[in-house]
Amino acid sequence: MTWTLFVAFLAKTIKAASIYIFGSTGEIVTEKSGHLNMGIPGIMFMGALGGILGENIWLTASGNNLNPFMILFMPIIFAMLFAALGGLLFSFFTVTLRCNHNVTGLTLTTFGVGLSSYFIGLIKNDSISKAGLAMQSMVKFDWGDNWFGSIFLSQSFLTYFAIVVAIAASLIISRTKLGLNLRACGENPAAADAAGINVDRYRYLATIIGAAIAGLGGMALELDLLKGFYNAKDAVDSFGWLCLSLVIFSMWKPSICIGASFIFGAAQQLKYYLELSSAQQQIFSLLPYVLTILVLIITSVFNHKNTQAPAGLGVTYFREDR
Amino acid sequence: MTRTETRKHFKMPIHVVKKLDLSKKSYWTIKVVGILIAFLLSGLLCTIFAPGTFVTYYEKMAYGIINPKNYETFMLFLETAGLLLLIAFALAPAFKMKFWNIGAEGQISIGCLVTAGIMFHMTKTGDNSNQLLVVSLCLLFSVLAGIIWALIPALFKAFFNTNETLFTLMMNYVAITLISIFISIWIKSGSQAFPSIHEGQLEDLFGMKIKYLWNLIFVVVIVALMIVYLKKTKHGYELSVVGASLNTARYVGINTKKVIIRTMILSGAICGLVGFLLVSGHEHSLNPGIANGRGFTGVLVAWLGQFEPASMVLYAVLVAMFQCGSGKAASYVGISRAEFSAIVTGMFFLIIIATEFFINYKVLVKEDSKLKPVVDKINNFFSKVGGAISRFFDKINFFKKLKKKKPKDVQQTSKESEEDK
Repeated sequence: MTWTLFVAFLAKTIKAASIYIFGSTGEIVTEKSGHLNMGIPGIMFMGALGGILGENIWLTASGNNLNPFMILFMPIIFAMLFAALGGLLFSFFTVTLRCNHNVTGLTLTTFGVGLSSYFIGLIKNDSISKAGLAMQSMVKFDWGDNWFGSIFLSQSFLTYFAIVVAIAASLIISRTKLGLNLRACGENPAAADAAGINVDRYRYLATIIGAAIAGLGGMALELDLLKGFYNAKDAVDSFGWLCLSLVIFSMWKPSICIGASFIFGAAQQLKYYLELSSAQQQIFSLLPYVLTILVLIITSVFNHKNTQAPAGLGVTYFREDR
Repeated sequence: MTRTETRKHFKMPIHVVKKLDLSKKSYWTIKVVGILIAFLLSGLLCTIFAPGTFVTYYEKMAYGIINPKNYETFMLFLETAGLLLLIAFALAPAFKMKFWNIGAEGQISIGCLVTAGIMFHMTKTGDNSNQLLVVSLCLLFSVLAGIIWALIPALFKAFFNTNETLFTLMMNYVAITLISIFISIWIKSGSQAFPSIHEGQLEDLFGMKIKYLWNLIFVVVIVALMIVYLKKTKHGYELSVVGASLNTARYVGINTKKVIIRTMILSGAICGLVGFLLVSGHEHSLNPGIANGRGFTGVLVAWLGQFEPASMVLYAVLVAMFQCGSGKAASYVGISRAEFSAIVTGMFFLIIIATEFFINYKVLVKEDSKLKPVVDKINNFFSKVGGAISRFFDKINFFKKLKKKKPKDVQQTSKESEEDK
């Protein structure tokens, strides 16, 4: 690998990592409240649909006006809105109707992926790629030709935004009273309820906000990394499940998840930059799953409180239960 | 804390309590109402996507299930339902002891990989050996592979209490990626397309040329065995004890580690077998998405059926109806097929999940609330619908009584006492 190729690889790694950061930060926020949302691939897909729709609405309404603010603002708002709807659906079923998390999540994945790929299929391919190109043209901070600039300073706005969101989530979860209450809901909802915390409201909000953040990941994948090139549902699907595994890998901490996302991003991108046979390429895509399994095993063998999932994860809370 | 307290002036007008006394009849009434709503909504969805196709949708849906001109349509429908049922039965024992095995997809995929590998190499070497031998080799090794895939998370769960939901989920993707790795190793040309394999096809066995018949035979036999295993054996009983309370199980002297490992071996074996049936009896080929979400759908069928054989059969058939029927209807009215059937299946499951709420809980409206008359009206409407359906059930019971002329009271009391436990 030559130096220029290596620089390009690192830049692409950071871009890919931003998707993982969005997805897994959203899922961590959700899981901290005790909700195991396995519908994250479906929700990311809904975010991707929202992003494409938002960009298209703006471009058609304004006649291809590439106003940098609006071109960012519209897809972000729409992606968050669509994904939040998915989160609302999930929390309505699990909080209000008290359904099983695993079952609801898996259904939401089927439903969300089906619905979004149906509507994305209706949108013309060239208008999707137009949206992607608009995103590409406007969001870069271009900073010269040196290696530092092209790795760290030429990323799109979404990449920096992802890191900011993850840091903010980390601070809120670990440093504020809001975060303490949120963690209480996830660890022991009955105790939290007894302490006067409205568990249902916390779980609703955490799931909806988490879904909105994860939806940005879907949009970033579709419009930023794939540049509006829509290649079936496989891409979003595998990214979605990897985000779920990244949550385990980073041991439910958004701060670790930033670093871990770079490892996953590198594993995802490295195969395009090395001269490999297609079998060897596939082995690289095996890497994130195997790493996650290893982390899962290691953390369970050294059973330490700080590295485990929230104790109430995946358990529906009903006040009148014992 | 003060902020949350000040906001508490808003009172919820409704109150949710657990239902404790639910008769079998009202249980099924709720389920049937849910299923009817799902059927109606799927037709409505079709008319929204392609206007004016409400009637056509149901007509074509029926054709997607039973086509008088082509018996294979019906066989395919039966086979879809059968394989789903088999997966659900594989998962039911694990779920019954609250081991959340989400890894059916991976266990099926690894079974597919092993079967396709053996069949592919037998075809390549070209010696026309005994077909029976090839098929039984495939069967044996796919079951073994499924067992291994289920055993890894089970061992870690038993000894280190590793989270099995996430572990089995990851194992799915390892298996799926392994398929792509082996396809690229076996197919040197670099294309990911796997050729159709002739050696070791299940249909060739004993000259039975009817498509999917072998798969159905396997399904019927194994489902029957599993029903006996779950209902009549000591193992089946131990499962429910472990699921109900781990501590109770320990106190009465059940070796919980052994139960977990044994159950997962069974679960993995059946899933591996499904993989074998899928390749040898259905696809005769291999691709990474060969399991096609069946494992996840099986999870839903098993859980929503509450591990009751009758309910699981019902849901498996209904899901197969939606998958085969609405796919066909969608492609007829010009909607993309796979997406529409995914949406409809998802919607069906969401509605069925929601019916779980009405089975387990009831909503009481507080007396002083303004919502009271509205909710009363809704309740009246649903009790009318429910009454009509339960009268229908009564009629069926009436016919049964005519046939059997057997006092039913004894059976019912024994069932009730079982439920009490």
